[in-house]
Amino acid sequence: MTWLFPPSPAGPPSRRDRWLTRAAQIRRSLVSPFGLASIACLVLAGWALWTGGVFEGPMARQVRTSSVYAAPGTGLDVAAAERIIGNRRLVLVIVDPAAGRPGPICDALERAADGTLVLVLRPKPGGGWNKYGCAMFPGGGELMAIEGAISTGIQQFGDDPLSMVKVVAVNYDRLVRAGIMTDGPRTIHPYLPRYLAAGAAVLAVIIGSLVLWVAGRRTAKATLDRQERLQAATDGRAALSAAAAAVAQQIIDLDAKYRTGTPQFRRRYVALTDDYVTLLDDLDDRAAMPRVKELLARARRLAASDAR
Amino acid sequence: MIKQLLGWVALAVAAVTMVVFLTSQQSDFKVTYAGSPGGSTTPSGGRGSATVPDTAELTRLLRTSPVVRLPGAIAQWDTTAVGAAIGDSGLRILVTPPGLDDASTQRVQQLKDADLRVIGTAVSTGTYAVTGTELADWRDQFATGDVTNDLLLLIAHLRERPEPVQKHLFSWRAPTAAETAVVAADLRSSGFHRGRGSTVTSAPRSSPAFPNGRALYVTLPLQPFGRPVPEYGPALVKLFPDTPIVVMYGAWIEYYGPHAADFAEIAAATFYSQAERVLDRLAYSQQGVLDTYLNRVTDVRFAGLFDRPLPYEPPDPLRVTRPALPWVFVACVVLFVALSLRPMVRPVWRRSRAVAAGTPAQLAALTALAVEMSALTDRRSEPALARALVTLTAARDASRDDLPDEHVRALLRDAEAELDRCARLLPYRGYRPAEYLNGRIA
Repeated sequence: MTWLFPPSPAGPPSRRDRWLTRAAQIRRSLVSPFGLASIACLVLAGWALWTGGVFEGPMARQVRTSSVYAAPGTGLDVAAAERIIGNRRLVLVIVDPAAGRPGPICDALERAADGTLVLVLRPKPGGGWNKYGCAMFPGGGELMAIEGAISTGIQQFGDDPLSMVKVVAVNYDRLVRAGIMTDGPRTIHPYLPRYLAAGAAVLAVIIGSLVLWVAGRRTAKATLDRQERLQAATDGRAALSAAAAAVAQQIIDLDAKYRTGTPQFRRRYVALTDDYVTLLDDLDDRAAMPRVKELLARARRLAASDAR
Repeated sequence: MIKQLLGWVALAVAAVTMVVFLTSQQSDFKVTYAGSPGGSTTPSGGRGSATVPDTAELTRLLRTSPVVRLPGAIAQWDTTAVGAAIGDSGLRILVTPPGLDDASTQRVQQLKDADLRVIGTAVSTGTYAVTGTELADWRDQFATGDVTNDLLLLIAHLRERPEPVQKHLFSWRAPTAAETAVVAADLRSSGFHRGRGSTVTSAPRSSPAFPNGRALYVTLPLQPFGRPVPEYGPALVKLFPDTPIVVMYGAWIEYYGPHAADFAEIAAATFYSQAERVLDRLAYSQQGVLDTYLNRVTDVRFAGLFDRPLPYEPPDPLRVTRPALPWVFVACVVLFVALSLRPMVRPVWRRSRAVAAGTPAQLAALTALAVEMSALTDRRSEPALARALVTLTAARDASRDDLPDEHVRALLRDAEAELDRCARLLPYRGYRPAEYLNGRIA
């Protein structure tokens, strides 16, 4: 949108200059308010998607908002089981009889079932249940005791999963009253709001870019119009004024560093501005052009010295 | 400056909005799962005082007979089936009363000649013990003292035979009219019938286990093994509809009445699976067993499984989400972006001030404008431009001579005003300092 180093009337820029230009441009766009806001928004979007469980499997996605996951074919009325478990910090996972070791299941549920006691059950071929517990809260050291206590009495209900769920719920309350489990409801982090947050962040970036783009187009158009008019006025004066504007732009860019610059920099900077305004004393195109070129070279040297 | 401030305020509002949005997404209602008023659900006491003879005497007894029943033993079994399973293997069984003291327990456990030890109704080989897993197992064990299945399982294990199929010898019979009448009469008068031999002295007056605290209690002693057991429940339900009825046979408790289908099996399964390990070998009073059972029923009731509502609040996406907040967030971020576009979006509510903070920068910017305009002026606008040029030169001189900044700025303001006047006389738009400086130079 702004000319940092315009097409130079003072000869083609060196490779080093071009590189400096590009680096400065990138740095500028990154540290511009919009760049920073965009980066923050995209980080937020990524975080929201990650914690929203967009990369999780179907079991974790269900467990995130529900206390029960039952593999297809286990014959459990999941809705009724959810009502029975209610808001207890308890997650019941009933896996397929053919499922393998339950360890990975616990790993996969680590974030979705955070803060809960997860009980993984697998129907035994002859009736009854194989059980495996994992505590998703700090201090699950008494896990063996918890696992034993939470599943006391479920073997009776091998073919009646809903009654089994009731037994587990009663056992859970016993653990709470014994002080082994913390009382209170489970904290659920639904994924929908996370996705909404991610969407909002991305939307903000998109709309922001759009605003920038439209504004940039307007500016570019205005600049183009002005250049055309100048072209129509006089070619010589147009070149001079373009070059003069370039120097002005340089001076303005350097102004940001004026306060923090070394005394030598400040002296050179003020001298440059001085000599630049001196142009006004004699606006004859032919005489002024070499002076403008010389000023531009000085401005770039000054900018380069600062870049170092 | 104000715009910049506004921009940062917008950004801060956006951040706060997002934080509020993300932290508000949790179910934050109060609910407790420790509200059951029931007491301990593990029977207490029962640590025994029963004793057994010394090791030498026990060994002598076991050598004379393959099955030794000490006085007070309560365990029973199907002798034919167990005898057939033992066959010619010479396995010996020692049966003791429940509630042995520690020394006696140790003596029994260390007895070399006893292959199978039955303390109360707890069957073990010394290394292995058997526990029930189903209601029928516990019913056999606690209502009639039947340990047939446990013995058969351990004998098969000791003889390395395949696991036997379980057979339940327990059977119900309908009570006779006379039996029912006696019980019903007691229940009508006091709500409590105590069978001959039962050790329950008084029924609970009121228990939180049942909706209004009232229930009818029938307590009977351990039932004789091998004979059908009178099933009072169905008969009493007919006489006392809609009334909770608790019938106790030995240490086995049956419930009849309202909500029986909802909780009777669940309460029994959780109670006996937990209590079995102590109930079978120690001598608990029926009173203690009844009290702890009622505590367990209380727990089941307060877990919301019968009579009381389930403590359940489903996650409500709308209430939890607060869906307006993301839009506020988007609006704030966009506002911030728009405000940070200061150099490119022309201000509509404010005349231009110095573009750059520093005086030299402003000087340079106005000079660039003057140079450009010098190509476009005509006779009408020429004087204004000339005045602007003079003023700019004066500002340059003032700046060079280190005159006060206010003075230089005043000159620059004059020059800007002259340039503005000049630009208004030009036939083109876009040269007024306010527009030019904002539109062109950052």
